[in-house]
Amino acid sequence: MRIIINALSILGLIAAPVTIGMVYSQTHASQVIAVAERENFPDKRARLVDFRVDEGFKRLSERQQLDQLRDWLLFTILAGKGLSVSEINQSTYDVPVVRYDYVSPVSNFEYGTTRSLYIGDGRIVALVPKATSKEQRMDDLARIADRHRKDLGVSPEQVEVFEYEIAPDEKSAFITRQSEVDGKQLFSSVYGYHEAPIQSLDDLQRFMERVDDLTFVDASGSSLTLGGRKIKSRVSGKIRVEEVAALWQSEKKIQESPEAFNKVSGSGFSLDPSLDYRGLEAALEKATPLLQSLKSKGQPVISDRDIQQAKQELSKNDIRPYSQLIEKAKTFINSDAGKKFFETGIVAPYKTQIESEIKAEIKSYQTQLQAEIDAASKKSRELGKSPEEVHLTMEPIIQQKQQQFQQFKQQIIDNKNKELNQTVNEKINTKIAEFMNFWDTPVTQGFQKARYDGYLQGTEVGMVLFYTDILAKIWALNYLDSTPSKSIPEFQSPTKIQISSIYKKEIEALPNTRLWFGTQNRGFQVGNQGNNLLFARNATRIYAASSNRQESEVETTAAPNTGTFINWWNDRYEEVARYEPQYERLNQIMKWSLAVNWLNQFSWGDQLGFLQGVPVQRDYWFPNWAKAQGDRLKFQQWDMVGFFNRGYKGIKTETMSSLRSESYQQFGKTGTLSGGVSLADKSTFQNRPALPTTSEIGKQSLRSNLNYGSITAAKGKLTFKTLDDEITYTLKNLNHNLSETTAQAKPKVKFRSPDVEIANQVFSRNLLQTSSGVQIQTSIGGTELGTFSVNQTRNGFTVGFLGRDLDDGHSLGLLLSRDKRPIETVLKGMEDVQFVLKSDTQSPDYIVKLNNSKRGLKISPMPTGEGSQPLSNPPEDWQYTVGDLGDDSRNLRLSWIDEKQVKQGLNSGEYKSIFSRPSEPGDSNFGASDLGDSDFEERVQNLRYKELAEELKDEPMQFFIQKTKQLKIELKKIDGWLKVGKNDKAAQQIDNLIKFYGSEPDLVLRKAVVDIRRNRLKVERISPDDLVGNQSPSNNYFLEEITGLLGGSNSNLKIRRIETDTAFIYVQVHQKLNNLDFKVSIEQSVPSGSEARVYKLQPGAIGKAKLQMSGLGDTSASSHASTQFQGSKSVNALRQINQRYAGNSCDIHSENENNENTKCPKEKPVYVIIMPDNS
Amino acid sequence: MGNISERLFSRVFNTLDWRINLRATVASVLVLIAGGIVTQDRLKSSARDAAYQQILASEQIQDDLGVVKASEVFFTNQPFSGKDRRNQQIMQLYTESLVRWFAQQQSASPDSSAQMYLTRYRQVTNTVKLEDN
Repeated sequence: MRIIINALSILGLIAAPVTIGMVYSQTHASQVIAVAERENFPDKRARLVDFRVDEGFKRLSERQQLDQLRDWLLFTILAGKGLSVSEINQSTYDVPVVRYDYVSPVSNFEYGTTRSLYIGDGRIVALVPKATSKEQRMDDLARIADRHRKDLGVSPEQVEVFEYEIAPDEKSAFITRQSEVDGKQLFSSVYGYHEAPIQSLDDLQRFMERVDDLTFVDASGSSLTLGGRKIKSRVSGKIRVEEVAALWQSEKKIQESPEAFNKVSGSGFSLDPSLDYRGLEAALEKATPLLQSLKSKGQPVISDRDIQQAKQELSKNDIRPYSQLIEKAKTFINSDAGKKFFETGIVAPYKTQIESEIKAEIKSYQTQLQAEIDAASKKSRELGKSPEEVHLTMEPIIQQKQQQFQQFKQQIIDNKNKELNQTVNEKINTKIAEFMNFWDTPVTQGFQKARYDGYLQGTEVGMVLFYTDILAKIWALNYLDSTPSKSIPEFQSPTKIQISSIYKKEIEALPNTRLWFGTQNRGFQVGNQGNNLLFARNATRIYAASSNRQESEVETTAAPNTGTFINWWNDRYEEVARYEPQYERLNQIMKWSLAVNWLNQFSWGDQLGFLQGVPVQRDYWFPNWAKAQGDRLKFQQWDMVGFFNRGYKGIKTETMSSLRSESYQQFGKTGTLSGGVSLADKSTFQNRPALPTTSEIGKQSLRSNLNYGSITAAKGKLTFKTLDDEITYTLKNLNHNLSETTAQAKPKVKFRSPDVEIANQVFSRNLLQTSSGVQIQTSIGGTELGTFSVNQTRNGFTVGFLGRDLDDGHSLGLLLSRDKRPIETVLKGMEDVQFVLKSDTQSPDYIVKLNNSKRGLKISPMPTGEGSQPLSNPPEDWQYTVGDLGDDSRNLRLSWIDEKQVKQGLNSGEYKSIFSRPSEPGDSNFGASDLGDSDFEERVQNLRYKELAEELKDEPMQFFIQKTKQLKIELKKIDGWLKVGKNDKAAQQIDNLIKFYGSEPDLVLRKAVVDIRRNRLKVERISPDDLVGNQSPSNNYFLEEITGLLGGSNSNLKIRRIETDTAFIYVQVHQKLNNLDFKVSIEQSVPSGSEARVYKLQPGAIGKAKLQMSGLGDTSASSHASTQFQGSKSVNALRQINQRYAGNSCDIHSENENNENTKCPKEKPVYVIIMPDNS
Repeated sequence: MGNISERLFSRVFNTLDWRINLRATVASVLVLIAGGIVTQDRLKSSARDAAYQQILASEQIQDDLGVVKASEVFFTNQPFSGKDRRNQQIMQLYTESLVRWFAQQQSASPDSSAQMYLTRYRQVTNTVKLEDN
């Protein structure tokens, strides 16, 4: 017994503290993410995504809009899956939420119909279009898998497939979760993947026959292993073993005897512009008298010394003094002095001659008439008439002759002037033509010659490089109208691209452009500690650089029109390559050149040593090759290209005349286009770190264009750079539901769209997660660009972007730019403008306060063409320059300044008020009452619940006052937008406010107005019943009456909401409606003969899916604190009913089921009771 | 019966060494305390789980007051350790719902029930431990 008690005591002494310790240390885990995902994306059930778009969206092209919506769908999936902000941020740090062209430098957008992201744990989210063939779906998923394998270094384990379908009006979409695809399957023959060890030519032959696209090269084993894909849905441009052998042999030759190949570092091709210098010498000789004739104030414009120097340098094959001479002549002729030269040199001598001719002819006619008068007078006298009779007879004759004289004089002056104009024009045109012929000599005496770097001349590879290079130039020049703008919508040559005159000076200053194809950093990666090379589908891109050869050979960022052209092409290289499969072949050549160079870099090149003996045809001649291809090439008008015969000027490669672009007017000068194809070379892998096995950077953030050596992590902040240190990204988690990302580009990087240029400043974004969804706020240089949000609704999501200061300024700038009226007139007519200040200077600036901002927009008009960034000393406050497309738009420099600066400008007398829209009757204090508490507004806008809760805890009264005041201000803003038809903007703002104020009746009813305008809600008039059964007019009547209330005398339309056992009733706060009894039916509640209007709102439908009346007649309306329940029993309140059904998926509706779930509670109908404005 | 067990108990204990007696007494007290803690923790855990489900359900139907009330229950029933991985998530939902519910009030100032919710929120924010997931 004693032993037992002792043992039990010891056991108790040990067990009790252990038990307490275990209880103390245990924590509870939750499965929130899994719950959120299951509820938001049930398998095979479509979820509705309702898009909210702003002005900025409408500025995008049709294709950009679709791409934008696809991005938003991807964000919707990430938000709906319940991923943490940190995870979403790591996956999307380089995917801005808007696709404005100017954000491209800091972005890594996907193009085409699919989207995908790695979300961790070996899982990929793939968004694919619904209406595709089975083969296309497989190709899409295979492409996505290859891309992520390239970024991650390993194959993904699972791909979560989400199918999407965007409605034709682009206002909504459906997302449906489909079955997951196993990663192993994606890298099997089912999806066209083939991997094989390569030890002999036969192995390679078999491999090349089985794949179209090279995706994987591994040198870690005893032999080389290659992986690739067969494209299942179409025939893809591919290359053969012979082409691989040509590349390998070329690289081998360069390695063995670099001197024999001008010490080039790799294989390639170039179509070099060349000049016939002897032809130019002859042209200068011929034009010398013409140039010498140019005189200003009696002095020669082109000196003999200039001409001699140009001749001398031409003899040394240097065109620069010759070009300078041409520029000098051009500048003079286009100047006022030039006009005077034509006037004095051509017009004046002819004018004098014509004037003397006029005088002589008039005099002769005058003499003739005098003789006729004298003869008549003599005849009268001879008839014996008295002098009085003669006078009487002669008077009408003299008058008639005088009349004849005047008529003749006028006629002769008119005729002679006509003759003068004609002759002078002819003379001037002849002279100008002589000058133009001379100016054109660098083109007419120019030609292009093929240059093959390495051992590629005459090979099939050489021909593909030649063709793809020349075709790029043909398209860039729109030569023979051949740019395939119809087959590839929105693909336009620089000659057709519309660009603002803010870029005029820059385009004029950079007439020479070099276009060339090269490797795409985003398309390949060295993985497995340097032992393998991984490819995405595309590893090729087109580059451009511009220069002014007259002044400098130094190249700079491509001129904006060319930049737009090449950026478009790069973004959609695969699409262009599908149209012209030779670009797919170029891509395969590029990939193989990367593979061969990578193997050579590590001395593994001999693993392909069997290629040395492969015979390669080397006698192709491009003009013959191109003609023989027939319809295998998209461009076939070779007779119009002008190839010279073999041996032209003793040159051993192909030669051809310079191509001329179609004529176009875009501040254009004659320029040149050169370039070629640069395949991979020795330097490609020299400074390229391999994908690290471990790193501070999360796997979600891995991209093949990152410089892995640049990653640093300190104080919770992760910093890394892209290759060449172009962009520096910083990621930081501010708290568990807020993450921040910044992107800073190198100073040389330009942020441009065709109609705006933004100063190079830090891009930042805050990603916030709330219970209702995700919100991403983007700023540039501290000025808000806008807020993107994904909000969960009952049957899906609302998704959209609401532009803020920077975006609103852009829209306003464009309006001012295209309006020809004075700036202040335009500003005064804009509903959004609260007040306008004007500077007291010769060329005035303006400061504008917009309703939707608490800051002031400074607008400085500027001379046309001086808008682009390379200003010698841009002003400190320069934020962006805006100019509408075309030559005749007004250019404006814009910057946002804070309230303090606005007041300073006003108080110092620098600015004076020229317009103010009183916010309240009699209030003209620049709308100060509308400014609200800016801190509170900001906290509400950005949903800073924690800070708001602190304020609520500390000063609840102040919180009450501010939230009430803020709502009033916001409602006025919204009413203003609704009045001018800015429905999308109003809807976005309402959605944002609902996140804070809940389903506030005043907000919800205004949202209903937008939904009715977008045909998302139907209206039926109940009382008076004169419109029953006629739905369309009911909509119109309702909208008319509501809009009348919003903008009329009762501009503060106030609504209360009542819930009964069977309905929701929205009643206007009005003395005649405040005492209605809703315990009876709606028809009985409103007495007949009263002026009140009763409407019933009913949900509309998109396709098969019935829309929900989100916030209007659902549980959120019932749960809202302001809703007065006037039913018989509280259990009949919708919130009580729905609580009983919680967790049985009643909140999930799908298009397939037409929302008819009989086990779920029915929605209550919604009625609106209002009094017309005049009651 | 009572007498028999008392007699047995005293006989057993009287025959034992005082050290064993002391050990047994301390062990008994500790076991009782541990049992109490475990039982209380289980009860609280079950109340917390129910409140958690209620919070999610209320949040789903945007019933902010429902979230506030259930959050109060959740935080009133804190575990013995004070640690629960859900604390942070619930605190976020609690804060959001409380702010929203106050924003929805139509009165010019907070009434007595609103003051009560605010007082409880202050207490919770002062006492609850939040830890990273």
